[in-house]
Amino acid sequence: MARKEIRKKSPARKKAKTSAKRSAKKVAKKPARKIAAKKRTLKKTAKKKTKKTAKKAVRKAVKKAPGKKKAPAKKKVSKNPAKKKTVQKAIKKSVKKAPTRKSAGRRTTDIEPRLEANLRLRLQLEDLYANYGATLDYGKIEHWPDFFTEDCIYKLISRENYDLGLPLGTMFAEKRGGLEDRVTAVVKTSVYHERTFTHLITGVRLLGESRGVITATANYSVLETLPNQYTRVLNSGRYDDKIVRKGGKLLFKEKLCIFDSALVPASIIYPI
Amino acid sequence: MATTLPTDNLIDRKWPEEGFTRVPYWVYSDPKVFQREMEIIFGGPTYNYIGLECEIPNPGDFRRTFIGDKPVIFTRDEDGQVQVVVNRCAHRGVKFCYQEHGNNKEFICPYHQWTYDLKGKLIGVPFRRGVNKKGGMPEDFKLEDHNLQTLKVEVRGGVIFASFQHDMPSLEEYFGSQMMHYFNRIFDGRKLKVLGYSRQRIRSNWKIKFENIKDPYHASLLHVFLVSFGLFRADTPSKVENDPTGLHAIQAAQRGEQKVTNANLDIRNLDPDLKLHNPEMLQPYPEWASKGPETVVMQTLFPNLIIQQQSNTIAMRQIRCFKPEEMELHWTFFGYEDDDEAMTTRRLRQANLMGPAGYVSVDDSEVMESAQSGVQPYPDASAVVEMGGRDTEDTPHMVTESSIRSFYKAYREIMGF
Repeated sequence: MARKEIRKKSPARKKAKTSAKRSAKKVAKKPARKIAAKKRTLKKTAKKKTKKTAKKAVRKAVKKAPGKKKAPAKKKVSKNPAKKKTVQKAIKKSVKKAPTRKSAGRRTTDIEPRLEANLRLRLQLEDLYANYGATLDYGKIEHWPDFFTEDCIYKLISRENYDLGLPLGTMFAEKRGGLEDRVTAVVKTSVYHERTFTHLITGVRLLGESRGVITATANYSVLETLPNQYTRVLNSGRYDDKIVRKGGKLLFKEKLCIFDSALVPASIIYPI
Repeated sequence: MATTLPTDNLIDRKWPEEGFTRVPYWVYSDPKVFQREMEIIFGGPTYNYIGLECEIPNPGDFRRTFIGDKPVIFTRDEDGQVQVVVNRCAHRGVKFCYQEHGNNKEFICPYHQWTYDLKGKLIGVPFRRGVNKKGGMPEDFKLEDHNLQTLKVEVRGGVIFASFQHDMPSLEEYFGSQMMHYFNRIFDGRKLKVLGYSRQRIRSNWKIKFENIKDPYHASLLHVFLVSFGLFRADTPSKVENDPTGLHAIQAAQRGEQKVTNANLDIRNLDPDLKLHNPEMLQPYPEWASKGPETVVMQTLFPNLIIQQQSNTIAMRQIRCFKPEEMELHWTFFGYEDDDEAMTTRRLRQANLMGPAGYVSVDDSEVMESAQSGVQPYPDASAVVEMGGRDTEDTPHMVTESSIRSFYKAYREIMGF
């Protein structure tokens, strides 16, 4: 359900758009050597998939982008939520079955391994954001720093400050220790009314990857419910993130939460 | 909702007989009281904090703000002078300035394009002479009779104040030399640099915020972060000073150790084991050491300004009010233009203590909302303000509510209660 909505929403932010274009360019311009190296690793993973799945995915991608091999496949696929879903399903299935059939070694198009990797990463990102939200909503706040690298930066900043180039964050935590201090405040030191949250994280977009750092963005709304009060929007905006792979996991190296309304209702106790 | 405004100025309320050691709860909730405050306090003979000069460095720069509930614009005119005008077109009252900040040569109301210069003078009225000799303003219509309402402006140390009343004493006279001493401690002539804004809506009466900073008693008990790290605590050298009018005040202290002693046994929130996982957040530089031993000075300047200096985080907290039971706190965090990068970083890190998500301020915002919820249904009950005695003296300690008493002593006179 959520996924459907994600894809329907076409992000209209100028900045995000241009950066998407930029990253698209980067992908296209990648030196052949790098791509070849990537292909090698990707082929390994591709072998695990059934021929059927791979074929399906390719067909879909090609259909959407006839004659435009250089264009990043992700953009094309992302426009069609229904098709994306089937592809994802198919991949999931194939992973479950642990297929024994080997790739027939047919000629593959350029796009295939890249698409595979792209889809894989996109799924991982979806998971990352979903788990992040769930941890803040239903999990233990003590686990929040687990989503970050040791040398991370977390900043909650109003769009007003961000657009003016003013550095002040409403929350600003450096290194895991800084995040843990936030946790201490929530768990131990701050005085506040009990409340619950629901994070709605949509429009997860992979903007690019360079030197091991993945750039991604997503929209978010955090609904807050206090006792005897109607649920209200506490904070909404976009995540602007730098993510790295570590031990098979994706971790935030930098997380910017840029929120829309400079006006905050009372207090923000928990991280966003 | 009622659309008629009370025509009389009568407020049928009686202050408790005990005087200023009591604060009746109707002052926080009665709409008539609020209306009178907007008229005679914020709209009257007071100097209200507007903004910082560095926010409008160039001619034509402008920014919107509020005095109480009244929208105004501050701008720099062609002569480099700071002007404050109401954000209300002289024609039909439209709040004409749509941008939060910007730069322009003139202000044009979108409704009928009445145009004003940067000093608020009306310089253009479309169709003034009619169209094809039809219509137009009456012969005797004079532009100069319809300028924007302007305010009296005073600038000190890069800080802009304004008053709806033009025959005002100087700032020095209004705040008094004692308060100006602490003001000049921060605004010593160095150029300022804005680090960012924070804004929060708090469901409490504006006076609850103003009193909150006149009340060191709570600060030494409520805030775990302040008391544990010795940032503001009753057992460290501290003081409270009220100006002769009683409206303005400071509370100051020196940083103490994170240690439980006989003197601070009452402070249950002092956690001797509380440790920062990233201690960089709180490694202050003794920035004001040459100007006295205080490491924190919180100043309230009536009616709408709190100047915050806690360690190296400095901010203007402007009080805006829209309803008896709701206020906005507009924070402008700043530093000095000659700050090096390390100092700016220090200020940004320590800003975690303050603001809508501040390790310290969160406690206040939450308690203030509870205070409003508590007093709202009981207008005829009242608060007891007797810590430190029943007078309004300055004290060489912070175990007192004398600033709240002196504030209400003056408030009653102004409001006629």
